[in-house]
Amino acid sequence: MPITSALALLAGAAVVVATTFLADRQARALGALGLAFLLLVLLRFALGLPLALALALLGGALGFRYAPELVLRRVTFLLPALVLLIFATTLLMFAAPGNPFANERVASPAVEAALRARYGVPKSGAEFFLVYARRLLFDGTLGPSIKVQGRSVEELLAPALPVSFSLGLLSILLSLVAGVALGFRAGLKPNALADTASMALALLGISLPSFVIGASLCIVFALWLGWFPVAGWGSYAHLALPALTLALPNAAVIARLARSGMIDVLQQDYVRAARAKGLPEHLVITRHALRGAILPVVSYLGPAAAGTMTGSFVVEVLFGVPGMGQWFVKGAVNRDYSLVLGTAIVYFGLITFFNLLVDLGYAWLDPRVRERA
Amino acid sequence: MTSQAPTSATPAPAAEPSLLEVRDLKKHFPVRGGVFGRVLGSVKAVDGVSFRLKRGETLGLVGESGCGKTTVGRSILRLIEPSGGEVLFEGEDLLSATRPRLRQLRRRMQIVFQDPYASLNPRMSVGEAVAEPIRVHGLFTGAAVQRRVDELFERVGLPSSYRTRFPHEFSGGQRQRIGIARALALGPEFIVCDEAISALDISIQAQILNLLADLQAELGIAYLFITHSLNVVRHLAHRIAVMYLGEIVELASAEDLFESPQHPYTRALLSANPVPDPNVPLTPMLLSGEVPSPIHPPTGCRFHPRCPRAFEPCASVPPKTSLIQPNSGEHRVHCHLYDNAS
Amino acid sequence: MLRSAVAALLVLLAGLFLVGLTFSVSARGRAEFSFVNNAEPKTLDPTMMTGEPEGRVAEALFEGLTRLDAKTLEPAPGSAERWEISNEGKRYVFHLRENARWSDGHPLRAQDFSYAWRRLQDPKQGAEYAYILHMVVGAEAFNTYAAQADALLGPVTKALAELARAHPNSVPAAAFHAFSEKQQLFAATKGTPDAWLQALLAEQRPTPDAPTLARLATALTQEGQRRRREAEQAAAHFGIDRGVYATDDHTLVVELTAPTPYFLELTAFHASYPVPRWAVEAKGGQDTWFLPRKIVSNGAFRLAEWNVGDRIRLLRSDTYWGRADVKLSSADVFPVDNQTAALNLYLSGAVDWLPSNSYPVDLADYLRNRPDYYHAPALIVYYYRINCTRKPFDDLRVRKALNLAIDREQIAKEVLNLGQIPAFHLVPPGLRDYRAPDASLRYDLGEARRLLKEAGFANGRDFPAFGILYNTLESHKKLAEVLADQLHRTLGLKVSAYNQEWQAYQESVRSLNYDVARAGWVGDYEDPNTFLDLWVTNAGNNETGWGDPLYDRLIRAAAHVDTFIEAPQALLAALPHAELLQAALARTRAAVTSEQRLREAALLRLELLRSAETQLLDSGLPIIPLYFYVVSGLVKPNVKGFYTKLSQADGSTRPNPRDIHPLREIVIDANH
Repeated sequence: MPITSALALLAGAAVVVATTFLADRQARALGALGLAFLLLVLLRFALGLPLALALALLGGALGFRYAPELVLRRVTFLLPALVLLIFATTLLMFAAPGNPFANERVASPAVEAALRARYGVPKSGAEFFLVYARRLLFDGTLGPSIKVQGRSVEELLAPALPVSFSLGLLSILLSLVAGVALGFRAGLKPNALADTASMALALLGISLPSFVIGASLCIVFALWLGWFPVAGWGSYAHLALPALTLALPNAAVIARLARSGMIDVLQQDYVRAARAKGLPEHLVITRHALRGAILPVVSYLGPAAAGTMTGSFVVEVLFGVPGMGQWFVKGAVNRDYSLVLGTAIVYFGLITFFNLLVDLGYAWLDPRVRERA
Repeated sequence: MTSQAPTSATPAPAAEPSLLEVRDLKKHFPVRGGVFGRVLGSVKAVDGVSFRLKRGETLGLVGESGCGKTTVGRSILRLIEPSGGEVLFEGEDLLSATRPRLRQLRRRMQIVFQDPYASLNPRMSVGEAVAEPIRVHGLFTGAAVQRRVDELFERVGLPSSYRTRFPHEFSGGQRQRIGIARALALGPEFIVCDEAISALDISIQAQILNLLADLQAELGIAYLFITHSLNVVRHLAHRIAVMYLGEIVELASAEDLFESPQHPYTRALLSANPVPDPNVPLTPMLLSGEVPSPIHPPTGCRFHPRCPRAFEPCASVPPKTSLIQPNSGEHRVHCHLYDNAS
Repeated sequence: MLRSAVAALLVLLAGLFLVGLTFSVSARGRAEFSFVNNAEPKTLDPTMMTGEPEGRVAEALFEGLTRLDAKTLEPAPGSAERWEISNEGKRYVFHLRENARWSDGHPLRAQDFSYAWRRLQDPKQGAEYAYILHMVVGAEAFNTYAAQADALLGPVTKALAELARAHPNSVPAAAFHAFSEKQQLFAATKGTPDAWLQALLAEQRPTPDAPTLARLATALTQEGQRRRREAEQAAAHFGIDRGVYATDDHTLVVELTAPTPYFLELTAFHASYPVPRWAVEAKGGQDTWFLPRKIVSNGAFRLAEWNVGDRIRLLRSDTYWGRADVKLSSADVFPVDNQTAALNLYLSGAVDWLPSNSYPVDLADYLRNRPDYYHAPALIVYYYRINCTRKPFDDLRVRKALNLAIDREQIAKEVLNLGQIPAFHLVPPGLRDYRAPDASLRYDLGEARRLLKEAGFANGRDFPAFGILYNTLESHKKLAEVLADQLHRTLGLKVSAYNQEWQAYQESVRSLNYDVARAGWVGDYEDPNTFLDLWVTNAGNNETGWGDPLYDRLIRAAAHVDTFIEAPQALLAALPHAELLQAALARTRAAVTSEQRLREAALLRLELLRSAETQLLDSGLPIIPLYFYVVSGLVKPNVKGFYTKLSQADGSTRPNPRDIHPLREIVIDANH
């Protein structure tokens, strides 16, 4: 790596770290500025410059005035982190051997040069970073994909995102319902047979890789029973097996978390106090134990949701689902630089978004956090 | 104790029938181990505890941590299920009561916990925490609930405007007042105070003790006052029971216990708690060794490995309970030294 | 609690609604015929596409001058209803159908072809398959000469001057090799008329002195200037009035530099399909004209939907001239790269055809006994490259010893067990009229040991430890390890197998940074040349460092068979066994009619290629051929018009080596 790139990388990291030391007032101001900038970049190509500028300024002002500091701090962190992410990923991609135009048949230098010019892929990572940044900011595009020609990265990701998103949502809900029900049941009567059985099942769910779960589900429900199609996309029936496959490991983790959360809470004095008040048991559980017991699940839910909704390559490939996961892998394998960066940005955005959701959820569940936020 | 200490309790009339009678209460916790969670043994947290409590009376239950005193309190209220024995509340056995009946009875007996913060749901406003039992038991409805809550807040010395706040917004003493308000909400006749003041500052402790004493005087509530400190109960309790490893080793009126402690363990406790009282002989008698494991309690007298006065039968024969000085009220000692006293 | 439950339910419903939005086409039900495609097409621009998955779709969407007849896979009239061949097979005149139309109603014109072919060769286009039509006059010059001229007159000249400065006396072989590799000198001067330059570059390890370098500089400059002139000429004329051009809307003339017997197959290949100029040149059309709702095509089907990762839906075109013969109304193409998922789709009845390479190899034993299983030897060879620039692999005896010490039959039977055919030569079987050289690579341990001893490594002593490189894949790994083991047990060599991820592997092979490396080659067309011209000295895909002037001459003679017929003596004299070649030459010369002569010349050409393969195997062996692939797949019995056995002129059948099944002729038998 050239020394200038290394220095730029270090400087970027320093800026990201520095954002956490901002004073409250500065964080608010910078966060609002960042918010306005984000709005401008996102809206400019949809609404035109004047309207976007007006909306961005309005959004920034509103954010400065009303947005919780938690959110504004996130924004000040988000922007430099995003730039750093793009830069570091670019350098890493270019450090890997090969290039998007390498093929089994050797392309002549002229052909390669023509392709590089057409797709805007210079030979060095730092140059590509500049090309990419310019495209992102001034053309409002994530760049052309090389793997699937004729489509820009956003055109590839746009139809894939709702697929992964909805599949992930369904599977997260499934795992939440199943995991919490199972975990709470087990936690209410620890060491009973039901508890031991469901925890053994959960252990199995955690340890089995998803291609084993998926293949087993496929054999039983698709090939033997014929209830669901084996693979593909196009009807609600197609959702069942991939959603289940995605849900099982999460459900298992959630069950274990819910169980330990419940056991933990039931030993709290305030639950004893609720019993002592003479509350019927179901009220003791729902009004007092539940919220506390679900907290560990909520904190797990953020990363899990981001992970699930950005798609799982294994599950998508296994069930022929046209989701996001394929692009993570295909982008990397084909050295489709823009596609790799596009997926990285989307994942970064989702992770940030879901972590914010989790923090807000925490605040809702726990008045102590609410106050700090 | 400060000068604000509550006035010394007078012995309650002996003839009055007991509000609560505990007979041979046992609580054994199974100890599990191994891959399949087999039961390997049991912790005899409470092993044959008996006592009586009269209406309006305070019984102090004193012992080192781990002696089972908290388990006694919770077992009586069936917050944990006892393994054996009887708990008679006005002659009715609580341990065989059905769940609906038990819920009805809960109106009449309540508990105040050691840690007022842990015992308040952090996700519920304190007003709601106090109002909840009132609603659940249907004592009041609608606006009357709020009025009752306000009244209770005032009774425990808190502005009623605090009721929309959350537990983390209060100081320790205020929280304990809320805990008491919650316990009072149903108008109980009996309250278990489980280390109710030990988590508080000394100055606050006195305020709460005074509050409890005032409430007793006013409402005639009986307290089972569980504590690890003899000093705390000296002025509040009418009678005091001393526990060691799941058993009551001595039970006497507060006066008797402090003036003529009989059991070597009680004496040891008293000598470890210097009391500003010239009548108590200061013979420093420090306990040696660790409290033995309740999973494998010592044979014979459970206290014998640490007892300075242990002699031949102590290691092998469990002592019987001896009644001494029967004319000055009940004074029970569980020790071989008194085998011939009664 | 109730509120939370309601909220959760709402989120769920919203999610399900969102899912519904992503269904689109599929909601319209199953297509009449559907099949698995191993990968998502990179593009549907026939000029730009490179792979099999693209080819399968392009074949349905577009039609070339000719098309492959499903029953025989021989060229049949496509967009052109007839053609004439003249000038010893170097001039084709195609007559287009009057009723051929584009899907947007435009009539199909000869200019659409000349435009497409010019676009294919346009250096700015960067089409990888341009080389496949380089035999068209001016194509190669237009496609490659300008860039080569720039290189020769710029960086090459500069680098050469530096080389001369660094080595005033004579340039060491290694330094000259590095220079020529880096500057891609061989590609840049390929086909030069300068005999001196040809001779220098054909030398194995030249060590030029100062005068030679000076002369080389002049020669390269001249060559650069020549290429620039030719490039300018070609740019001005190719596709307009030279090489390929329309004389009127329905007549297309194609001029070739040499007779190409398989040319009518190439005109059925996607690189030669016409493209709609008005769509391509519309604003932003260049890279997007082939997307759904924009695409204009001239084939039997049109593109209804293309949901990446989901499916491509094809519908019968109602503008296609032969629409009356097209039985299928719709077809779905599923891009499934997971072989298990693909097989599951087939077994559950969701798809009707599972083509080659799309089911898990481990299940072959189970599938082989099914009645709907078919297989045939493929036009694919699996082999290992040997790095001839490294010691001791630069010694032919060593390379031969490695080849003879491998028991291919055992490997095919016991390791692969899919019906693969052990490869004792390079060109796969099943090509029309081509007879492979007699096997010379049979397992012969005694001979292998003798050769190794002769090379100075008796019993493998002192033979340096070496590695077998393969790109990361379970099946390659298995084979590389078996090979390493066999070479260790039979010759006592210390061999290890190691893998690199695809791109890294390509980089290693290209820079000759390996000892022995796994490779495979898929025939682009049904002709031995596609396997043999790889090994021309310093050819782009040679990548072994091996070169043999005699071999190069044979390949060149086959490419310009007319030139060879005029002056065959020099080449014939250089060959050790030229009897068959001489006989073929005599037959060609004796031919009376021009058709007969064309036919005999084609056979003579194959004989030249056979001599080249013999030369490669006897005195070159930069490779270890291992086995020929088989194509195998599953197809539902109610699919008709699907030929796993091809009819031949003499009434016999031959296998379908490329698993090609034109969609145009497929029928679903409803009564089945």
